Amino acid sequence: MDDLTTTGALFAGSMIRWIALLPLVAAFVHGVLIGLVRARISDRLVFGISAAAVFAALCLSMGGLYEIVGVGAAERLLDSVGPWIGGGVGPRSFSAELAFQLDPLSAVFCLAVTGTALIVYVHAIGGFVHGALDRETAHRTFAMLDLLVGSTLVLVLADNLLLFFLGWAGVGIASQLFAAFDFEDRDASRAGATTFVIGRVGDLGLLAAMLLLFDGLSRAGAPALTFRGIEAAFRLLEGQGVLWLSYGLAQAPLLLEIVGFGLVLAALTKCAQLPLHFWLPQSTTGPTTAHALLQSVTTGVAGVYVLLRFAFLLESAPGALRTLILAGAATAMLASLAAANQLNLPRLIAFTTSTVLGFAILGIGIGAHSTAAFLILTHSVSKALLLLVAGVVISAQKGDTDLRRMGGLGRRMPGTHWLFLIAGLGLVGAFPFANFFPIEELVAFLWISARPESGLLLAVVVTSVGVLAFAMGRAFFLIFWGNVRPGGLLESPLRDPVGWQQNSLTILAVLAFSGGFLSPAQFWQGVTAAPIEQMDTVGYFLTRVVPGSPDPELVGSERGWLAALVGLVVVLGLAVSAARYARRGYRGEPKHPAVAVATVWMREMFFFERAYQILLVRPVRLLSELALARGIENQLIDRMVVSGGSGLLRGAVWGVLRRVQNGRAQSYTLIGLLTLLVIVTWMVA
Amino acid sequence: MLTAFWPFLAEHLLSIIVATPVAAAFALGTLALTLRAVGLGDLPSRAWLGTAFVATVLTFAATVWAAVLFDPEMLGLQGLEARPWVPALGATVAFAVDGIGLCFLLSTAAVSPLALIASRDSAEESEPAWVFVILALESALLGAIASSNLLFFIGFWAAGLVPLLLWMGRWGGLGRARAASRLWTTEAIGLAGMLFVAFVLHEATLAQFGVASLDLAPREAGVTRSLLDVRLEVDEQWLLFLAFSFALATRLPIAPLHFWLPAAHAAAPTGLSVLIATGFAQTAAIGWLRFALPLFPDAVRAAGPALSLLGIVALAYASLLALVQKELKRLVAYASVGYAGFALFGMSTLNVQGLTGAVLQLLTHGLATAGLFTLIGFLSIRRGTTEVAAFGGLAKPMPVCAFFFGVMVLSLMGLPLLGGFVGDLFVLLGSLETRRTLSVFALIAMVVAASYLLWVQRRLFLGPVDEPANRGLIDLDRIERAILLALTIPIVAIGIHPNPVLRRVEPAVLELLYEMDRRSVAKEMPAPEAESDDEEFARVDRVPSDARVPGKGRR
Repeated sequence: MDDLTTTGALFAGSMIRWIALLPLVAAFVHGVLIGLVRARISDRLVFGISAAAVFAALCLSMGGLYEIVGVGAAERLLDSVGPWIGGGVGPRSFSAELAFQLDPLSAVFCLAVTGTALIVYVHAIGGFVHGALDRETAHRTFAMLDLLVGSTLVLVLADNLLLFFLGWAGVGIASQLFAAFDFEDRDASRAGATTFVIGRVGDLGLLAAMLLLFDGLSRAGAPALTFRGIEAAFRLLEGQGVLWLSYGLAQAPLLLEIVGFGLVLAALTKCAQLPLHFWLPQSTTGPTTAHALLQSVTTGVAGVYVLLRFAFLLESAPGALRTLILAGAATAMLASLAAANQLNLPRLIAFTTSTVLGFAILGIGIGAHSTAAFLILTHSVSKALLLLVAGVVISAQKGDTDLRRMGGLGRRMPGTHWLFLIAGLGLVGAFPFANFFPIEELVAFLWISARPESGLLLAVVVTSVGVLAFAMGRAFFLIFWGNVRPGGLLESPLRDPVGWQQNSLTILAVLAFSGGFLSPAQFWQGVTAAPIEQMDTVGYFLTRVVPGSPDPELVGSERGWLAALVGLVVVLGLAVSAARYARRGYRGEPKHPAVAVATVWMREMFFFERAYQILLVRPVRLLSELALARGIENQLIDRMVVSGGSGLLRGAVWGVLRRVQNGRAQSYTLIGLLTLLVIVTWMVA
Repeated sequence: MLTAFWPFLAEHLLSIIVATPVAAAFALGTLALTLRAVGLGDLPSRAWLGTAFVATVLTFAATVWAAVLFDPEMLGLQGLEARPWVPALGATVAFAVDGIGLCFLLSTAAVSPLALIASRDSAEESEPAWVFVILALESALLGAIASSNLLFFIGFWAAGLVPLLLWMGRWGGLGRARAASRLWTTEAIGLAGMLFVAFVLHEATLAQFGVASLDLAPREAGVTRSLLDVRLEVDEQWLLFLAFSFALATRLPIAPLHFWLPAAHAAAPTGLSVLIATGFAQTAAIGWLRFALPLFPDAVRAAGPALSLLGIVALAYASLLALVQKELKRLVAYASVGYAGFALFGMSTLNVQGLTGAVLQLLTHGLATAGLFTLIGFLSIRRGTTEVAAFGGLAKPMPVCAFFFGVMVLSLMGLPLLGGFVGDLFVLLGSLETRRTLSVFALIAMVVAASYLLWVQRRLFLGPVDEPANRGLIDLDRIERAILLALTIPIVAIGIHPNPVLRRVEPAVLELLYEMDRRSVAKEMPAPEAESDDEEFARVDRVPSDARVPGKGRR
């Protein structure tokens, strides 16, 4: 458990801080320039600052990963900048340092974040330079992108809970800013507020978990705030059987459940899972470039990362895990149905994000930790590609996002057509595209799982994969095949993106195709049962930190059949969508009233947000308005107590004065004497 | 000459800090009267404002000097100055500060020049009187924060009311007479309670020591006994605590004694709102932390859970009310009532982290609400109204205003890297130690409470610019930006590097808790639970038990 502080000449441990700090510093500089100084600097400088920061972060991440791969099992790089917050006395004292750690889990995520970020940056710069994006917004966009990337990196690299919370909150702020990017638009500003409020609910869960964990550990005599310290304390106390002693044995499991539940709540909000999923589709009013980053490597990574870090703790919180499984499965099912019925392209993609993150959440729930991490990685490239291509499509449609008015783009933009296809296939997990391998692993894990409900979960996952394939196929055919729709506005001349925009998309397409080969050995080993030596795949790399086996212990023909099932379901979904939409495009809403209603309900994902509005927000406002503001505040306190009380007081004082100030000399003399008596008594006493 | 001069200044630094504003006020007043008597007419208004500004900045510079001289290692009160005033009454002219007082002193001295500048437009006609009132108010607030004698404290407490009421009544907005009379009535009742406490304690010290002494720190070791050595039985403590707390609760203010505040803020000029949100509330906190807690420990301990509950209820109640306010100043006023409830919650936890958090919370949330009031004042100058409905989409014409509003709101919400987070974190950590069940509600209330701030931010700055009058609004000018920047810097600084503040506040809190333990007369108090029997269990990276030695560094 040693920390490596100094290593090879090429990469020093003290460089880790810059992975996170460089983008944050860039964001700060941009923020001050925009918000405070109101200075306009040239776009080139903006691009230069941001891209250089992210490029440097990428290089440093690669260096860090190289170091980490080279060293032994349980080691990490630690970079301590200095003390940040500390205080308290005795067993409750704490000191949170500004310290960053690089271990396999954070190194892998760091690389994914910085790599994807750099590609998205290049694409965005290309967009601004070629005029596909509005140059007026360039500075703002990059300020927010830097904040998003920097916060995610702080979150991933944080060594203790407080720093982790800092990154977490930063991601929340950046998401809100992006949701409200077109702040002059009413819907966008509403989406920003929704994003922020849901984010606060997640913050609440995380804060509660953090504080209760610290409290529990310090009551047991082992206060710790660092991830390592917490795990060590946890294991030690567990081994001695004195876990949470001062909470009383009866309460100990309860405390763990509450902590676990807080973490789960936090993860569900960030991963846009039921029942707090609706902020993500709403926030798609923001720029698609930003969403290419947001949905691929930031929010999902944040949510899954916190669960992976605390995987050791969640194992002792079965109730929280059950919540996780339930939410993940329900989201995968309902969000894929919602995606299949969407009429709006960015919303559709947002629902596919919820679906895939639902798989990851479900995977963590059943203990397939490294599979979940693997899925997040492969998902990130295909999702980034999909959103960037969607951005190209939307600007070709002059900003129109409605699928009903799209069609026939394939002939005019062949390159975009193929890229979208690759992204879609990668996302739904068509063999041998990226997402296939983790999804197959997940299904295999469910197959061998001893849980009673695993059969049902397996059915849910396979069905969702099919529906997801249908949804992506539908979007693809509606956009690119068929004829140009009559109502559609088309940019002219219509052409594929060029230059750096095109290059960035190509790189992502290669990754979306080949991303799954990060662990081909596992797959072949599973299917062919051939004895292949254990390779240093991502899964095995992560098991240095994350508990659980990286690969389901299922070999031979059963594994082959499961893989075939996943592959077939995907093909089936695509085939159905092709049959329905390849030729004729959008065919209007369903005729039968029951089907029409069902479509709308699925499209809006069963109106969760409206339910919150009606059941929670409105009653609270009404209560505050009527009972508190008018009732207690106005009537009781203002009228009765204050005005009434002062009225009574005034009456009494006037009454006494009227009696006393009657103009008779005798009574004045009497008062004077009495006063004198009082003073004399007091002075004598 | 100078070599002798500096030590003299350093010796009497607190008196100088307190006296500078009011001395400048009197000097200006005399000058004005002389000029008028001689027939030279009035000074130009700029001269008034400029001189007053220089005086307040000098005061702030002196507090910074005091902060530099302050020894964070030492427990207890520092910079003690005491001169007899009315010996028979036990009253002395006594100044001293601990870390808590120092922080409040710095913040009040820092916002005073800003308050002066921020409301410069509201009083163009009658500059001399206006400047006089502001300077007098600053002195009174600083005096209350820095005094270490009960009667002296009460004197400043009451003295602050006069300029405050004058300011509100003469230069305030709509409803100022009603607001002023309400404030006066409640404060007068509170003052009566405080004077009663002073009277009883005077009698008690006289009876027990043979000398009347209302000093917190003995002037010379072994010669005079301090107020903290007086023995009070539990029932006496209860009576005195309740009498003393009424005034504090109205001023902090704790719901349901907050009724004067929304009206006061609605009527007050910007600068006054700023001072009410910072210095005025902080004098109440000083009353609690320096006098009430150590003087009446058993009553406070017994009342602790109830006070915590009251704090949470006040937070929830005020937040819900803020949610439905339609006028900006009232909305922020209710927000500050809510945060006062949260501060009470922190103070009533009666442990190191909770109390430290409450102090930081008062400090940073005070600054942030002051910032919000300033921004609202600037909006009101531009639009002539503070109704929420009159605004919308302001981020387009006023981006800098939106930026600062966002920073203040985020700090109030407790986002990390901003000051509010540190206080909230410490309060919650402290409350988990002694009020575990309530802390869960506190957490929920704290996080959910922020939603109204978000609502108002969205309502003001986002969305389309509906009103034509809002389209041509001019963004903050250079002076206004400087004011907001000056308020933002400490918020951000505390968020990024809170340890210097924490290192000064914590010893003061430790000393306070030590005094509470020492003075407690109910000896059957249960021992702190953590220390009893867990020694046999292994401890992982446990910090060595605190090096608190009773009386270490005390004078």
